[in-house]
Amino acid sequence: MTNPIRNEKLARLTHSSRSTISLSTSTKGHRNVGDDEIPIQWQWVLRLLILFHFFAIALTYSANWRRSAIQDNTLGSLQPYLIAGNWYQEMLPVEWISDSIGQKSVRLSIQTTTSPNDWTPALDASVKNLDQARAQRLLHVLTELAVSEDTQGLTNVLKSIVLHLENDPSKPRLVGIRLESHSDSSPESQAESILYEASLARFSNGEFGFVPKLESHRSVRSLNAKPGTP
Amino acid sequence: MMTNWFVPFSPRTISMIRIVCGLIAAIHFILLLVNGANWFGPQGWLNVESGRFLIGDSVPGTGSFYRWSILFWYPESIPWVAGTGLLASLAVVAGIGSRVTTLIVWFCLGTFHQRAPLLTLLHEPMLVAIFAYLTIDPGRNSWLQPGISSGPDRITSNMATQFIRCHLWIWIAFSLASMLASPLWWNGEAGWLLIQRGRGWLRLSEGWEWLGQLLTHLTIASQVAILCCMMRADWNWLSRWMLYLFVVSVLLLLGDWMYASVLIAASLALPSNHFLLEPHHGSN
Repeated sequence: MTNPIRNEKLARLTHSSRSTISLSTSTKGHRNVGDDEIPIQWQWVLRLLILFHFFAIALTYSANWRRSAIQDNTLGSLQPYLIAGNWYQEMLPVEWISDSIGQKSVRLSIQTTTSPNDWTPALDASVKNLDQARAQRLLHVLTELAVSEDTQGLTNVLKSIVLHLENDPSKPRLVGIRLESHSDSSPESQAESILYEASLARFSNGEFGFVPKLESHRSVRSLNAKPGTP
Repeated sequence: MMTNWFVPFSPRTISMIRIVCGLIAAIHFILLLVNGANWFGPQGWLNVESGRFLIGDSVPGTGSFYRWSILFWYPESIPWVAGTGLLASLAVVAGIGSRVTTLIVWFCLGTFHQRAPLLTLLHEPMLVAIFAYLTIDPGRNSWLQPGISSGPDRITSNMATQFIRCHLWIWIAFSLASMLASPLWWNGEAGWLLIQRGRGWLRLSEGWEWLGQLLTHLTIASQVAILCCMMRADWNWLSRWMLYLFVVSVLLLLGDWMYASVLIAASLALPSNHFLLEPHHGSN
């Protein structure tokens, strides 16, 4: 035997009921059905707009994974709506864990004029504070730039970081900076691999640049290398 | 097609979403008021020049032209934007100003989102979307005007709720896709790695890898279940509970309580247990 009250509840909760008449039979008496109805022509216009909206969002989100040329072109034409409307979202900030460096955590360490031989963590996502979430995002961005060997992008962001760290005149100036990964989350853990390392070169006009540290497997033959060795 | 979008519905649901999201936005702006300048100010971790570089400024096809954040031109205005957002959020919670204050919160959230889209936190995209939908109908409940706490049913209330529900579906699908793009979520390592990094609320020592793997699969399965349950009218009520399961994963593995809060706020747009819920259509 059907229960009409339960059916009405189910219809409301699932929003599967088309009938405004069934809703208008509510004994509450708050609503005049005629005032709430949208003309059928306008309903179709709204439906099209709603479909367009969710199509654009679904297209944006799915394009973060893999995208075709036609998807890219469509997104390009939808950019005014998507970006200006705050609907555009990239995958990088959404990822819970980066696949680029496998099991390791990343931190940014610096060498200063007061301790030029020691590496001190400057930005470490494992340190719990108000900045932790943003620090994780920034380190994620730096890691992706380093792994993809986008040196221009990496040094651009690192420049901003150096300026930030040297903002306070009372603090020592930086002589080196490196992005390192480590598997242990504790701040005192040793670096296991270095994603990027550079020393800072100061120019007379106050500007500075990054001189990347050459890797041990450099391709230029060493002068005293034995014949036959790379 | 989509006939259920144009049926009047009680504004109570959307009012609850507005109040919860207003509180979350208020906390978000307090945090930005405290350390926003440290990140996006003229001498912040990511200054304007680097911020412009990361959005692909002047690079064709990146759409950087449409990034309208005033922080690119007035980076010193961070406390003002955050302060305005905080006041508007509190007004949203109190039900003052309705659409205008909702729009102000959306604008302030977007100002920071546009400034550094790659430094966006997990809760921000969903929060800014909900505030956009709240401009359709922010509900009627006002703490300062108790006489109008129960209002008549409105189509706009229904539409705003439906928008949030559909957006949540796409968001969960996106979240799932971002995980399945990595082999770490397939082989069960992701959960254990996140536990090892100590970000979440769950702390385990060696030997508990199986629990990490179980949580990894639970995270994936809960999202699949949310998507499936939301697509079937008679399973809709279950989707809320699946979302709560996903929220548990967020807290245990990520410890991101802001993201968890936004998901809980969005879950209000989903039907609860239809056998237990009292009819609130047009009443309070």
